[in-house]
This record gives sequence, C-alpha cells and structure tokens, in this order.
Amino acid sequence: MHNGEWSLISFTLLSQLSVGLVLALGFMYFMHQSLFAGFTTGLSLRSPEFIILVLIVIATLLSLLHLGSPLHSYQSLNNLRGSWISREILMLSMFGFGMLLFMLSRYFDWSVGISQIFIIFSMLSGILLILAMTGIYMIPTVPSWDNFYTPVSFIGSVFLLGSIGMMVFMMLSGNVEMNHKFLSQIIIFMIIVVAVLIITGGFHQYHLSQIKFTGIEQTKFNQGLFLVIFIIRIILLFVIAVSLFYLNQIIFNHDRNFSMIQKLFILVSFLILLEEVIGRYLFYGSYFRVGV
Amino acid sequence: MERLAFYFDSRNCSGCKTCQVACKDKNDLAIGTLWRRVYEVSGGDWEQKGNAWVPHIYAYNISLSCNHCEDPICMKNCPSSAIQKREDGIVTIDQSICLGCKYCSWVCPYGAPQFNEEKGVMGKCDLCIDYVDQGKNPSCVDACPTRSLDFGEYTKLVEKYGEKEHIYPLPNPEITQPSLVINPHKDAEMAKKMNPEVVNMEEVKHA
Repeated sequence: MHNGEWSLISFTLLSQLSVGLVLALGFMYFMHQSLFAGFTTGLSLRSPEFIILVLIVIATLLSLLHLGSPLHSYQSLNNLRGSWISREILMLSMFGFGMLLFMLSRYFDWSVGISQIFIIFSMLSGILLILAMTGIYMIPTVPSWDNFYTPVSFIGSVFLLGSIGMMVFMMLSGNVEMNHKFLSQIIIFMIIVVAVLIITGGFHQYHLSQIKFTGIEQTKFNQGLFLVIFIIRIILLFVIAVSLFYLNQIIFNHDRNFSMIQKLFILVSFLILLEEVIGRYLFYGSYFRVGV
Repeated sequence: MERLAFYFDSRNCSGCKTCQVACKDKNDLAIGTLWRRVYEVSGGDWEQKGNAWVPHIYAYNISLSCNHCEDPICMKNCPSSAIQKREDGIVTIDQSICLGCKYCSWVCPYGAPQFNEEKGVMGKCDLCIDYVDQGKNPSCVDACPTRSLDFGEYTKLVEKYGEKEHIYPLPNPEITQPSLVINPHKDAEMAKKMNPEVVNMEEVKHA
C-alpha cells in the first residue's frame, strides 16, 4: 500500500455507503411511505438525511487527504471532457447538494413535489457518481482493474452498505417491528448480493492469476499475503451469507425477539464493514501497470 | 504539428547512467526522483551440451524518460488540465494548478510523472524545454558519452534510424504512441523468451 491509499479506501467506501443510503432512502420514500413517516428530520443524528450529509462531508474531506496540494483542489473540475476524476467530483458535489436540499425541504415542510425532485436528483447524481468512480479505475494500462470486477465490486458495496443503512434507518425510526416482511426482503436481497460477490470474486481471483505480466513490478496474486487476505475475505462473505440466512429464519419465528434480531444484525453489519474494508484493500493491493 | 522525440540505441548503451545524472543535475531533482531512468535487464541460464556448458544469457539497458506521447494518457486523465501539450509535441505539467492527485503516475506506462514530496505536485521530463527553445539539445542527449541518445523531429528520427520494435520492459507502443525511436539490443529477442526482469529496481526507485 502506498501512503495515502487509506484515505482513498475510506473515501470510496464512504461515498459508496452514502449512495447506497440515498438509494435506500429514495426507495423507502417512494415505495414505503409509512416507514418514512417515522423518520426524524433536521440536524439530528436520528435523521437519515443529516447522517448521509455528514458522511458525504467526511468522504469529501478524506478525499482531500491524498492530494499533494489540497489548496489547488478548486482546479479539479477543469477537465470534465476527459477526466473521470473531474466528473466524479462534479457528481459528488451534485449528490451532496441534492441531499442538502432534500433535508431543507423536509425540515421546512416544503411541498412533497419539491422534496421528490430533490431526492430523485440526489439518487441520479449518486448513480452517476458510482459510474464515474468505476471509470477512474478502469484504466487500460492497469489490467488488474480494467475488468468486470471493478463495477461489480463497487455496485456490490453500494447495495450491501445501502441495505445495512436501510435497516439502521428503520431501527432509528422504531419501525423494525412493524414490517417483518419488508425486513426479510432486504435480507434476501443482501444474501443475493453476497452470493454474487463470492462467485465474481472467485472468477476475478482466477482472472488475476492468469494475467500475463508485461510490467516490471509483478504482483504475486496466487501466493503469499494477497492470497491469504483473499481467502479471509471469501470466508467472511460465507459467514455473512449464513448469518443473514439465519437472521431471515428467526424473523419469521412466531416468538421472534426483536432485541436479538437487532443484536445479530449489528454483528452482521460489522462483518460486512470488515469485509468491505478488506475487499477494498485487496483492490488497491492488486494495482500494477503495464510497462515500467 | 511538430512531434519532438527521443532516439535510444540499446545496442550502444553501456549503462553508465550519465544521462540520468545529467537530468537530475539540470532539474535539481531530490533523492528518489529520476526523470530519466536507466533500467538494467539481465538474466539467463546455462545449458549442458555433451561435456560443454553453453551460456544463454542476456544483458542490456534501457534509458527512459517521458516519451511525450502522441496520445498522452496522463494528459487525457488529468483532472485539473495541468498536463498540456505544446505545438512542438512537448508534454508539460503546470505545477501551479496540479492537485498532486498522482493519477497520472498510476496511468502512465512509462512511469514518467513522479510526485515531488516537497512541492506536493507532479513533475516529469519536459525535454529541457528551456534548452529546446534556445535551439539546444536536452541535457541527457548531450551528456551521453556513447551517443546512445538522440533528439529531434519524430519522422526525421525514424528516417535516420528506422522504426524498430519496442522491447522489454517497454509497453505496447499502440497504447499511447510514444515519441520514442529505439534500436533494440540483440539480446532482447532471447530475453523475451526467458521471462526477463529488471535487476536494478532498488537503484531506480531510490537513486
């Protein structure tokens, strides 16, 4: 790992978490209004919009940490025509701005139509932000990144982290007990995402091991620390899938204990966060470029 | 549009690294930063044929800086547009607007842009732009004692030396179309079959 990549790991994960949360929030806003009604708004740590805004601000600040000249960062939009980084920064700004307007519209009780426009704007900007992030890493001179797994892993992170966020929001609003069917749907969705990550992760590891090196610094993908960390990540994904499956089972028990469900969910969330950090570490660790 | 380029003769290069030192001196580069690097490629094996041991060994050098590519991947991807190309084909970095995001160093297959820790911005070979504007050669070219380096308009260099295949560790030239003409070392063909490697990476990284 080069210096500064921890800030990139944190930035990419936090912004993907934020996008996942906004998509989840939008989904609940349009599809499950009854759940949304319980949410606090304004400058409260129980308000989803405020939490997302704080995450976006932290992600933005972290992204500045890897710059050699953060004071020049205002120049970063100069190349929207060619640079995915410029596009990413534009999308991040639009995404945050949309969320800020959505929060204001709810706090000041503006009309529902205006709130809807703001959240749709934020959701679309978030999707474009993930697209721009993918473009940044799909570099033709970096074969280990320029493949199917980059978008799959980014979208996987958005979905997994967003699903966790949706459950956390429900807990914050005290709505978990109200709708166990919806809870189960989220968990099944997460199991599917984890299964896709396990399968594609395996394919990607095989792809990495087959890459013909044309560079001078050759990373060993099929041995040593890289392989050990990859195996740990896959085991973690299996544990997460089994835990989610178990969680889904107890949700449908007649004598379900929501306090226990919440504790188990917090444990699974922690495992997912750990898996995501490890996955992103592996991603940056797989960097090598053709040539010198 | 003009296309200024380097010529490098791998057959002739002794690996003395005078070019590297001349560049470092001219640009006052810090320890660990080299805008021109000399890569030493060597290796091989011995094969027993009857009572004799026959060597299959190879050794050659590649002196490499920014190649001021026709299609510079660094420039295309620079978010602040700090990397620009002049009319004569020289690719430059405007350090007053560079963010120091290091993305250009991720994408360049020649390792040309390098981070300047002190200034917090990227730097790279500018073909000794001040010398070029005065009608002189870049410092590395004039410093080379074996005349393995040359400089000039790309098409004229191709006319003079011919267009030959780029050898290990150079990437496929189709990616960025480097303004670099080389005369490949005779050992390069053998090296290609024997899983070659650069043997002076420590020196390249820390000199």
